[in-house]
Amino acid sequence: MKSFAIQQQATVNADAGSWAHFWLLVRWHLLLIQKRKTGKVIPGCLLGVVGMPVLIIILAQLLNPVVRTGNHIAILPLLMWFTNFALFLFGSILIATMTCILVGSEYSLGTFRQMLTRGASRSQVLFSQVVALTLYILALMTSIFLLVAVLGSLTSLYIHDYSYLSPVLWRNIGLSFVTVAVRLLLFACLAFFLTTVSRSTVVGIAGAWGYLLLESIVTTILLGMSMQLGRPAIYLAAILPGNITTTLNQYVILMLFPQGSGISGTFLAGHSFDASLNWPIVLLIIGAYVVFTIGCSYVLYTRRNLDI
Amino acid sequence: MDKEISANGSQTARETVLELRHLTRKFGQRIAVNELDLQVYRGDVFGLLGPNGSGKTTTIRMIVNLVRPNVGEVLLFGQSLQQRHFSTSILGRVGSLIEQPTFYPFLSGQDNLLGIASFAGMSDTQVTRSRIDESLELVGLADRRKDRVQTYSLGMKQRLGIAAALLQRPDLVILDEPTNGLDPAGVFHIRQIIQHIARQGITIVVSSHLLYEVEQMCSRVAILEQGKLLVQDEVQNLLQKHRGMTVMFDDASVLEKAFSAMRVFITQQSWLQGCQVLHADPNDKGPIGEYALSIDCPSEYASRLNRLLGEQGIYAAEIRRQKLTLEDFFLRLTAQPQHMQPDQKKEGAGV
Ligand SMILES: Nc1ncnc2c1ncn2[C@@H]1O[C@H](COP(=O)(O)OP(=O)(O)O)[C@@H](O)[C@H]1O
Ligand SMILES: [Mg+2]
Repeated sequence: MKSFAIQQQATVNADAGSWAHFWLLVRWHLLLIQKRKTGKVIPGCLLGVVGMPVLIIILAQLLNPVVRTGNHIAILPLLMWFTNFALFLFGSILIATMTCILVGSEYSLGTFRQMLTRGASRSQVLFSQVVALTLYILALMTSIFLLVAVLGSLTSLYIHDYSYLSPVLWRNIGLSFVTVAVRLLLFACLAFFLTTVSRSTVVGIAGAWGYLLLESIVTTILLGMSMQLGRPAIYLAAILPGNITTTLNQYVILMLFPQGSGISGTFLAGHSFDASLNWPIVLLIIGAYVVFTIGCSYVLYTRRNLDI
Repeated sequence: MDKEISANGSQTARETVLELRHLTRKFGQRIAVNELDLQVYRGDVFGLLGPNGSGKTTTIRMIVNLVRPNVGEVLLFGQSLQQRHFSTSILGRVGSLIEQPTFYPFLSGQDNLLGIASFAGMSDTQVTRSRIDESLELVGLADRRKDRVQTYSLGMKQRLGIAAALLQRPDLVILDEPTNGLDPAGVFHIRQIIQHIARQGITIVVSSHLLYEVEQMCSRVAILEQGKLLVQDEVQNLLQKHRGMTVMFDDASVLEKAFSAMRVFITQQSWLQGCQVLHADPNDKGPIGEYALSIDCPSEYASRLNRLLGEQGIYAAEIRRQKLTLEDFFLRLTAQPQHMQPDQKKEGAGV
């Protein structure tokens, strides 16, 4: 055995509890997501879901540019609308699944023990995971939006469609990005909460998927009962997490793609909600959901015994 | 820190690294750890000994703050984990390996240690890298550092767990059954590593259900059974205080007589107070046809006991004084008084 002098005092450690320590944890979680299969499969799925329609639209435009036939369709808004749609529908479920796998595996692998027994506090560990997931989801969405925007702009340029020059369009693309991000992050929070409660990937995923199904059933029932119950039933349906993010997104979609307001409205929501819930209230309610799910996870995580 | 205190040492005011006070933990109706009081001093190699299910892991989980006690407190370096404004940073001075080591199987040993370094607040610098190398070298994994952990054998994972526990140069290392499930070579390797760490003056708590292992490695020991502390002492003291003897007879009926007589002596003779007669199974004949009675008492009593027996007309064929192993000692502590069946003996030892 090699001689090994262990000096008594450790000097390189960041102060436990400090921001430096917190960022080290965040960085590690981010690194870990990239090294995991989940961190490759989920972005791959998202890219596929968004990329297929986008490529088909672009190809169709290149082969038979509608601009030249006189039937003018602005290609960039159309592409962004598809991106929005795909991420909104499939992104939320994929992101929820990814969150469940990432958080749940710390329990099934037992690696949370390594994290919690080395000087970091439980809240540091929990929030570093939340922050890392948020950053990752935002980065993923940014890349997808940018990719589609660049491809769309290049195609527009090629087919002499000058819609990409409109500043209003870019503002709307930005807003669309924000509303999709809000939805995906909210679903990540929900998945995080379910996995933290159950300490299990499978239960988390089942819970998140089950919730999506349940919400659409409950919404249908509530809207069906609105004849008897009146507006309260509609409001109740409208503030459910899935629906409320839909409402928020609808405002933007109508701006982004006004021609297709009829299609996009029913397509995205399945139901159209009363616009009397204005956006500050919508944001407030979404904020309340985030605070509730993360807050409950925090309380549970910092108080409970981790004896598994 | 008082460095003048010797590791294998004297009782003079040694710094208490870890102290448990009335520690109790229940799971539903079952009491996993029951009013446990322990002191671990700087430089100790402290053995936490007990059969499976005796509460060793639960105790260790409470020490590293994964499980909270129902009653009692844990003091690490004099600070209570149960006090209101306790800071988890104190855990940075403790390196632990609890049950099976846990790693990301898809990462290499080295990358896993990098992760653990960031859990400990060590950023990815040259210093951290060299520490990782040192730790891997110490546990003999330097040449496998780049391989994924899922390709490691159980023994290698266990050693990586020890490397992880040493990474932040802790003052206290806690290893929960580090040799569990390993082959003899693996066990030997781990024991060597533990002795090596101990020589650096690092305090070690190691749990085990294997008595000979603790006897070989540890300077002090606490014996647990069903969550209760049976005894806590220096290994040498325990073994010296509790020597015993075996008295052989030629005949089963003499054995029976001797057994009854001994029980009477123990109640009548004040100098025999606290002694025990342990084994008197008349069917259990030794290899040369002898019948053995084991007596748990200081071996200096051999001639006095012989005389007492002789006065009753009971003549021993042979008296053998023996040094107890920790295993015998453990059996004595956990046995039902007096009669003990051979099969119980095996179970109690947990080997
Ligand atoms: N999370 C738990 N829930 C219920 N019972 C538990 C839990 N953890 C441990 N126990 C019980 O506590 C007792 C002590 O277990 P443990 O500390 O693992 O013993 P050891 O490590 O000495 O084998 C056992 O009876 C075990 O079944
Ligand atoms: Mg155990």
